[in-house]
Amino acid sequence: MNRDLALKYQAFVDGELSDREARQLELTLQQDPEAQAVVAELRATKVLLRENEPEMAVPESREFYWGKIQREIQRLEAESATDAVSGWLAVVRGWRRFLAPAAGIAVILFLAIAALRFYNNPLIDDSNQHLAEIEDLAEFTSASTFRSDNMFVVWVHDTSSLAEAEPQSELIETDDIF
Amino acid sequence: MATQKDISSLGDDKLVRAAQKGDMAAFEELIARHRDKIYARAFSMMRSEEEAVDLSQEAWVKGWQRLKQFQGDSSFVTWMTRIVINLCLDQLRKHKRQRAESIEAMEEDSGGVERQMPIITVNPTAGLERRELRQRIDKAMGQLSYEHRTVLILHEFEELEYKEIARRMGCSIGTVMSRLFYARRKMATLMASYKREEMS
Repeated sequence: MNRDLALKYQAFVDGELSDREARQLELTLQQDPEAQAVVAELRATKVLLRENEPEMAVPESREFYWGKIQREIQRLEAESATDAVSGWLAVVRGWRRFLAPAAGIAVILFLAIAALRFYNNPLIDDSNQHLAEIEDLAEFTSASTFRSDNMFVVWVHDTSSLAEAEPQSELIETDDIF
Repeated sequence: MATQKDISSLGDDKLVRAAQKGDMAAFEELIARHRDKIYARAFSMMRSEEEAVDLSQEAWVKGWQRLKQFQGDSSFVTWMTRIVINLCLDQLRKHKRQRAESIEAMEEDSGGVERQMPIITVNPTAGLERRELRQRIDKAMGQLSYEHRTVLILHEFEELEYKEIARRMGCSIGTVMSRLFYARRKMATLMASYKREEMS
């Protein structure tokens, strides 16, 4: 009997074949005495083992056996509690490297918001600020004109240097002459 | 908390439910009831008393840790047996990595060794007492390589199908069939040889 056929007979004994395969093999089996002997031996061994599983007893007392299990359970539970705490700390440590940049950003945001609130406050009179921003050039210049029949002349004077050298009243007198 | 007497009178289902809520006394009672069976399974696979004690205790610890996952689809002892079998398989894989393949496994790979064994037609266990019979079966199991012994245990004692055995052992169904065939034939031959020894 070849190996594949022997394994097929074993599958037949173990009920691992389909109904159709089992019926076909049963017919072959009836004509093969060697196969019948192999199948009989396989069946006998199977039944022998299934009905006579060896029994054993733990070679330790109940208290001693349980004591080791209990200590291991308690050790693992304590370890997992410690792991939970250290896991939390690790998360906090992980976040700590982002703490300095985050604090910097927070300070900048705070200052920006505070400044905005200050400038937008309606209670603060900031009208002078707008005036201060406008440069009045009139105080540094003066103008004089001459008109004839077909001519109109305008003199523009830079008075910033004159203001330092001459008193303001003399300028007025000059204007009076014109 | 229930007293020791109360606990002893409870069924496995109630003890499991109490243990799932954290009652260690209930779990201890479950261990006391089933420790021999779990140890026996570990011993039958490992063939070492020390390893069987250690692995069975490890299985109980794992059982406690995974107790909330136990839904009652099978009996508690069947569930625990599956845990200890998986631990033994892991341990045997470690052993296998540490040593060369056994001669028996090499013989099996070369193929056809079992065909040289004579077919046993006479019942080699006739007239034996049950205790003696079990001792002989245990002795014969000890003569097998761990691959053949494991397949035999999973098929005959745990009554698993070829497909499930292949999944657990990480091999093909063909390998399971081949190992099972060899293991059965070897067992029959060994039992017959013990009978002959007794007669002579």
